[in-house]
Amino acid sequence: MPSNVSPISHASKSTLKEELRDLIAEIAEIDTIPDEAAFKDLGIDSMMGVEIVAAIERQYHVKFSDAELSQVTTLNRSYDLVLGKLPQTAAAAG
Amino acid sequence: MSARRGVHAVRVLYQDTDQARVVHHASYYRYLEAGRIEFWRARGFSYDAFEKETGLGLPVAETHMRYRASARFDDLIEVETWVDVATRASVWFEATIRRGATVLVESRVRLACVCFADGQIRRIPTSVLDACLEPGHDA
Repeated sequence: MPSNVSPISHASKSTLKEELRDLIAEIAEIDTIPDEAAFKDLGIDSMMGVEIVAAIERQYHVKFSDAELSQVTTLNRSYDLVLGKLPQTAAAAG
Repeated sequence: MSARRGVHAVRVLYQDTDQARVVHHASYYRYLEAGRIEFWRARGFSYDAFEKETGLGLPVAETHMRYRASARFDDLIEVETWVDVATRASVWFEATIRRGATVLVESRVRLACVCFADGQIRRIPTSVLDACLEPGHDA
């Protein structure tokens, strides 16, 4: 893990989701990204999904496998995937 | 001619034309494909080898065509091809097809990357991106 990536705290988890919401909204040029809305229903196609993954990888210094590419289907799913790749603090775990 | 552009010459066959005795609009897609393949070949990238070695393909995902003039049987036309944008998600090729100084077609074609085994999308491999950004030796 790069040294500039800090363990994520409980407080920053909600920030993370909002950051992802903003990032996806910007790439997809959509105002609102509901938590559970399927990307395909929002007009986000598979190529845009790859763009979203590439942006997430750059911003959070994480890597998605090929299999995970197809799992980026909603904001919540994206959040879970990113969260699972970021180091957790003790407070967050509690 | 920019070093980042490729030029591929094509002689129009009779089978490329339609009842109106001009090149059918769909025939231009074959010329554009040939232009892309030769663009890569001039940069040391074999699309055939790429498919065989990686199990990946680069299908056309989106096209924009503007037909400005007609070509006819036995015309010698040139397909000028270049890459507009290349990212890990897709590659946008642009091309102009000319007969002499006359522009026949202007196009934009977007390629994605898929895995043949599962049909799922993949990132564009760096080998493809490198070939798209290589100056090439056809300039």
